[in-house]
Amino acid sequence: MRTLETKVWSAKDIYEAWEIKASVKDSSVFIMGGTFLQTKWENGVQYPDHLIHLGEIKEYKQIYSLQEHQVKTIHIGAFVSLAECHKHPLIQNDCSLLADSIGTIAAPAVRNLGTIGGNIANRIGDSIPALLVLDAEVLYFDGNEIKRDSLENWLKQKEDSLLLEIIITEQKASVQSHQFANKVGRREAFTASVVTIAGRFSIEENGVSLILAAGGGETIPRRLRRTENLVNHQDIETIPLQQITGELIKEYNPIADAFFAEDYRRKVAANLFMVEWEKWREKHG
Amino acid sequence: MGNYTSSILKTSRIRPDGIEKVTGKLSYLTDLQIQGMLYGKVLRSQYPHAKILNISVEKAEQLPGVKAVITSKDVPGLNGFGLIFPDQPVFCDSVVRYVGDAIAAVAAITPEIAEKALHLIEVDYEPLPVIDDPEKALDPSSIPLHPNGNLLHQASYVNGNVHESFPHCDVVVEETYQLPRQMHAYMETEGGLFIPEEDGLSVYAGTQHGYKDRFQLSRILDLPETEIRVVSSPMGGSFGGKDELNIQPYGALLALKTGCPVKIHQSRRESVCAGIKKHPMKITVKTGATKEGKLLAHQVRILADTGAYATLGPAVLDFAVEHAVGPYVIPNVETHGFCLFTNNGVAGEFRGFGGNQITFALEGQIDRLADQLGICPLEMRKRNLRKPTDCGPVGQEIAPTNGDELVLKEIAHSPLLKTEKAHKQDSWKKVGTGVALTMHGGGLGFGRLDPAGGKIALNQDGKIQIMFGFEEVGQGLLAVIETLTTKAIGCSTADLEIVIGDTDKAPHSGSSTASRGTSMVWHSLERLKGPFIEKLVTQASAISDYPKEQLVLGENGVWLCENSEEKLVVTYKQLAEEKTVSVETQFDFPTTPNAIPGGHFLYSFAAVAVKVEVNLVTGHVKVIDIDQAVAAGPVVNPIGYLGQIEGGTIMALGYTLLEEAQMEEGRYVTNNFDSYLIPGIQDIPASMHVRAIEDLWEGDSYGPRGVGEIGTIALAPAIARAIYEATGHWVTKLPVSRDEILQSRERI
Repeated sequence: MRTLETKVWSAKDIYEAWEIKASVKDSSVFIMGGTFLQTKWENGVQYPDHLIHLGEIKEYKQIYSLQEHQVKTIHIGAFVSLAECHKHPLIQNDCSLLADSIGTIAAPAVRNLGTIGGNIANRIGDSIPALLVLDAEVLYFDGNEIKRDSLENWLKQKEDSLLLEIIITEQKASVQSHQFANKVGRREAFTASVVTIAGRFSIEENGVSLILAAGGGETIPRRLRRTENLVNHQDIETIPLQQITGELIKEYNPIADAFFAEDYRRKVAANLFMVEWEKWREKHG
Repeated sequence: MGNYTSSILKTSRIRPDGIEKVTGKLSYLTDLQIQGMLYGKVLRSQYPHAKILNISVEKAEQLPGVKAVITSKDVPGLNGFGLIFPDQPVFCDSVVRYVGDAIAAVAAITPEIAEKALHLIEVDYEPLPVIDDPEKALDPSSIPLHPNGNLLHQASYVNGNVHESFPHCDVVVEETYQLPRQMHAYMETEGGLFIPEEDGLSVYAGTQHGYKDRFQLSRILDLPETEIRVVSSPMGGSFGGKDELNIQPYGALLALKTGCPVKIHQSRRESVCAGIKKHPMKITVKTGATKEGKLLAHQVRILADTGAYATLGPAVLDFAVEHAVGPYVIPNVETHGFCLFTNNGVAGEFRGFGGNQITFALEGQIDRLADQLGICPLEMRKRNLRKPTDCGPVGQEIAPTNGDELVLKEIAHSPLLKTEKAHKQDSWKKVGTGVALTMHGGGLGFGRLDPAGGKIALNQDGKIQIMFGFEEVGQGLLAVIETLTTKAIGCSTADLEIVIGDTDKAPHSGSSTASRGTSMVWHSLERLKGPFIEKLVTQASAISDYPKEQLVLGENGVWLCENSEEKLVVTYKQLAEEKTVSVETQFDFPTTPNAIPGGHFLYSFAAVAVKVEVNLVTGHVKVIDIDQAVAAGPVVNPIGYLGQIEGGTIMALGYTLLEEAQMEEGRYVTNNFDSYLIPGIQDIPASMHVRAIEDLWEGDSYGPRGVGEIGTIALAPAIARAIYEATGHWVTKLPVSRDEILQSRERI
């Protein structure tokens, strides 16, 4: 007979969840699918005394769209499973980049349990680079109020908060655009990322536009703004590709592990960028 | 090459344990539960190398729910185990030599209490310098890990004179190959249930040799072997990893100490830490050939990292030394192998048994020489192949065979070798193909106790019982026994009852290792069938008055076969009511008559053709097609044969491209399956073909050879050659480094 010494709480809303967390003296953690936490516990991180389950909070277990200032926004509840998110028509049709990224996370069984919120809250999830390229915003609870900010800013925050919703504003149509989200793992599937790079090329009125984000492994994904700036507003024919990949290599700051060094990750990120650049050029002449 | 799979479907039998396994209904020994059982846990060392200054178990003993805490003081017999030398302490009390060393064990009413109790055991250590490299272990200034130093075993083979021959070679290639520490990665981790009985102890724990476990446990427990029953089957995989004792001493000691049944089942993390692995080897080879492509000289130095204890390290090294020239005739050979103790995890038996490592080096040399001489790799191999009646690779007498020639001929027809080298879709992907050849000895070899045997009986219920001491480890043994027995005796599967893996019920058959199971079942039945049939037809003749010459065994009983008439004369049940019958046989695995330690007599052969796609963006190598020709005598159960070859091939794919139980300063970096990666379904080529060559050399009376290992050997060098063809880079270290592939492109 196994005995579980951890107390499991189930909160009916985010306020109660926060209160429970504040009231328990011992270690505690919010939990939904628990798939990422499980890997941590297996690797020796202390199992908490209290698990606060968020699965009963229905409000953030849905995907819907709104018109905000005449623009369509897609709202993804943080407690929606990755599998549900992946197959949802709004994500498939309007955020295919995110759908593609989610399809590379772990394995089907993990995606059935794990949530989009969990994938972001662990700060190294495979969906983050794509969401950064989509300029996603997040809704979160900081213990006092519900706030809205860009995902990019939220990732930089140090304070505890409870992620509630991911908001993606529909991109305005642009000509000759090409977007990509590539994950390179140690094997073909069910593997942590070594390098994840996502981007979007397009031609705007004032020249080329690039949005680029990269992560992978223990690296917190972030926008590569210096690389973007070298490309943005340039004439496509005069863009110095070598200089750009050189900048990417300098700006992308991956964390090494026992399997891959920083240099390898930088090289792969630059190579992937070049391949996508070529694909874009081929596609649009 | 045709698709072998299609013909298999018509002739294969569904394995008796298949449905239960794929539906998850089968109870493994680690699934057993019994009322009142306790849970055992083992405290492993915190250091890879340290003196133990003090062990204090009082606090753990006082924890409510703890029923026993045991240390070396509680071992009534020999505080040691090991298949060759019992040099691994059951419990360490003065020094620890690797992170899996056991110091104490606990039995408690729940696994959580047992785990908590482990944390309450206080051990004072004085860390010692860590030897984490066999080169370091060889250094005379290194601290000796065992009384006789750090050299566990040395093996050599010298023929001719390499030093005089190299100057006569037109081309000489010298290279150092580095092979990784692979983990068996069996589905079921080590564990079992241990039940104290009135007259001794019952052990329900997976192993590859129940009788050997019984012997080793008898030494440790100071109990007569007859008072220990070992039930050792079925198992969720082993691949060599469970041949040595693992948790059995702790379960047994705790059960006897508490008088209660004790269950131990290691977590994956515990399994990684304590379990044995494949030997990492560093192999330096210098090989010379004439411009006509004739091999002239081959000089080999093997350094094997055996870790902290011996287990089968010496035998693995002997195997590697023996197979250093493989199926080739090289007039001048000098092979020296060294098996070194280190503070790394213990290395021991692993499917392939040293053959994988040495074949990677040998075939790598052949490919490099062929390349330098501008000779087709297949032709290079053909020019140097042994003749059917030639001696074995260390000059020993072997059963004549042309298996090498047959598989080489067959693989030359592989259509994948004729494929387009340029990638159709992506300019940043390169395609390459490669071929490799291997021969692999079966059985334990000369000078090693290698008994085999079996028993057949007509029992009181009228069932024909066929009994072997072997274990079902996932290899499909039950289907092999069923196929061979029904064919040899003539009865139906419904008449048959298979008994295996139980020292109280099945006779000695030797170990379920070294590709010997299928072969030994066949040999046993060759000896059993005549006397058994004779006894039954004689009995049936006496009952029925038909002459025994006209009687045969068939479905449900003994049949009359006279001219075109066929009728059931007497059922097995009726025969059993008259008299039960049994026949037993004992013999040894055939071995070479020459006194060469570990020298083999029976060999199987394989040639592999592989096609890879190298991604120049990431350095990733993807295997996209594999053809394989195997010569191992007649196929017993085609789908089982295919399963062994394909399964072995996938294991080899992991070994080549993904798997390494990495260690840093004697500690595992890869502690679980999230960091130690084995191939998933998407890493496996959609296309794999196996061609079985069943011909044996004229007069060969040794029947089918086992195929448990042969599928694992030749893939790695074939992939290395294919990568070279795709990129121009020779890989020397496994698993293949993507970074190295990218760097090699930068150099170009």
